Amino acid sequence: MSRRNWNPGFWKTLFFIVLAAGLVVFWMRWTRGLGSVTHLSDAFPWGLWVGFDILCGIGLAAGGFLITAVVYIFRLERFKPIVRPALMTAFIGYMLEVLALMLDLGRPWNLWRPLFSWNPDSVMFVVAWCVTVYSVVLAAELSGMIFEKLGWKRAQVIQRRATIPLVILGVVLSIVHQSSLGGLYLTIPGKMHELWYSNFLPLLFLVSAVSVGLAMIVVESRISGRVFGHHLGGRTLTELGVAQLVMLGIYALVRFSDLAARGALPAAMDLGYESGLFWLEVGVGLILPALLLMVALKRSNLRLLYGASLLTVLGFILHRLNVSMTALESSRGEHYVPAIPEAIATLMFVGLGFAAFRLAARYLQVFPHEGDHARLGDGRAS
Amino acid sequence: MKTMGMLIDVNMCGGCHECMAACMKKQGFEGDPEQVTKLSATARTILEHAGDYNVRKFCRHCIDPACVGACPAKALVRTDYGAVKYDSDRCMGCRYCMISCPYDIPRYEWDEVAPKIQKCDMCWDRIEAGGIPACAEACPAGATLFGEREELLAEARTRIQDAPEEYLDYIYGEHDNGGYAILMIGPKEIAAVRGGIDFADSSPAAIARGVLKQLPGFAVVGAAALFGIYWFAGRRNRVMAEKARARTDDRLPKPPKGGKESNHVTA
Repeated sequence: MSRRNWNPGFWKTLFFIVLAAGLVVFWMRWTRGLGSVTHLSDAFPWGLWVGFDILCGIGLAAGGFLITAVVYIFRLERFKPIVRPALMTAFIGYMLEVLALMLDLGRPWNLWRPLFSWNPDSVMFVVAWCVTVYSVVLAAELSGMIFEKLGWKRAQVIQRRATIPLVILGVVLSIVHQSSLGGLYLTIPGKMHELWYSNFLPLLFLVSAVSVGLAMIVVESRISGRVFGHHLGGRTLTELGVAQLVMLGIYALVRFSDLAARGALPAAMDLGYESGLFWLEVGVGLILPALLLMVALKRSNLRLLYGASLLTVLGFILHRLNVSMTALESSRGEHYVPAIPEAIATLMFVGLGFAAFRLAARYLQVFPHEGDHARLGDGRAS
Repeated sequence: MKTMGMLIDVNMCGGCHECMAACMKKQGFEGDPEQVTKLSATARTILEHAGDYNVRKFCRHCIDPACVGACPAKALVRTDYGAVKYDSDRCMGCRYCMISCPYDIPRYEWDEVAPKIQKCDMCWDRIEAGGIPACAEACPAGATLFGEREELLAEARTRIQDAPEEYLDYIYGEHDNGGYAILMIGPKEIAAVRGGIDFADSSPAAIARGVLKQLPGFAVVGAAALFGIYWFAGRRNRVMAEKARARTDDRLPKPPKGGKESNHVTA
């Protein structure tokens, strides 16, 4: 047990308490039904588990496909050291989605059906299909790390040769399902508040996934710097900050020109519940991080860059929670507030994510060894 | 089989709740129909009130149903005669149908360990056995008629023409959102619960269909573009490496060979 840097006693204790409580939630759901642990209802069939665990979770894992595209498609080799941590984070994220679905789905033993149903009208079919196939692609992309650990040279060579096709497949699947998550809401214009319904929801979900993927790499670098002593160089972080700022700009352009084109800007000016949450999302999660990023880049202040990235993540989460919950409240005529067990289960998934990453970092070569750059990213055997 | 449907004539309904009682009996749901005011996992049809009128609320059996379009597992399907039915053995319980239905009809068994969707299925089992839906059979007033949709439409038009002062000149379900199998006519007051008459003529399912149709093409073009970028990036890296080597070679004592190579590459 490593006891350096921070106090594992406190975090471990907290983790096991949340884990125990989360298991109780699982047990309740599978003995008494969803109604016993959630505030879900016929008016709000989707709550925190879909809004956060799925919509945000998949978006937060976007760093995985982004970084493979940067390193293997655009061939910017200097980003190679973050390929493995980003892919590992993404893979753990998708595995946690599956776990969350075991709680949220009514009949999860039919989870395989979308793979073969081929309903060409169903956005959910596209999401389910792409997420499943992409999880396999992620596993294949990461398998080099396992082969390396086991010392299977031949498997490593085969895995390395498959890298480019795997990366292209993974990037296409990711673009499709990241945007399809927003596409889920395209069919319900009549149910959603005008501040959030948009024909451009798929594009907004894709662009925000990219900006949050970039922000998450900065955040992860900071955390892994504290916990494992591995962090990215200042130049790489700065480049990530520039890219993040560009994506936030594109996002703001699409978001506001769409609002203006639909004549929804006056709704943002009303003082009310929806407009308040809208400005929280846009002010704290879009305008503020963009300003902070500009200052951070101008002054080469990495702490500020880290803070701005955290706000980008927050703004992303607020947008997705607003789309999946706030936007529906007025047409439902009621509010949805998650039940405590829903929050506990979500906390458990977050905690499991951290724990899984720690284990992976301990037993696999997720981070580069010093002066070992030739071996990074693709499990090169030589 | 031809497209079947039902015609609800609100002017004929006396509010006896027999349709609800018959439905609950067939489904094995407990309770007093007169006390049930909301659709639920144990109430597939209810009566809403618009002034003194009773307006039935249950699945409209859309011709292009949003729920069928939404279902990733094909647990919801529309039969060739128009009933939208649900197969719990295929359902994975994602509840996207509940999100997608423009009329908020599907209900969920929130207290069940393996919950199912509950909604009117037009008594497809009775129809396929040659019978008619339980509610239509139970109605003593002729306010719920079962038959071929075309014939019901003609009947609805006749009724409106014969008594224009008693009816809103509109057949709910003829075209709205692509049309329903369940048609409704009645007095002007029912617009309060059924909404205005400015529906779109195509279903929300068509929105998703239009977007998803472009996906395969997008995926192919996207993959090709990525491969193109990969190739160009490789070339750029090679050229840059050669240039860097050329610069280094220039400073070396024997330049000719390096110079030749670099000319060859950049030419």
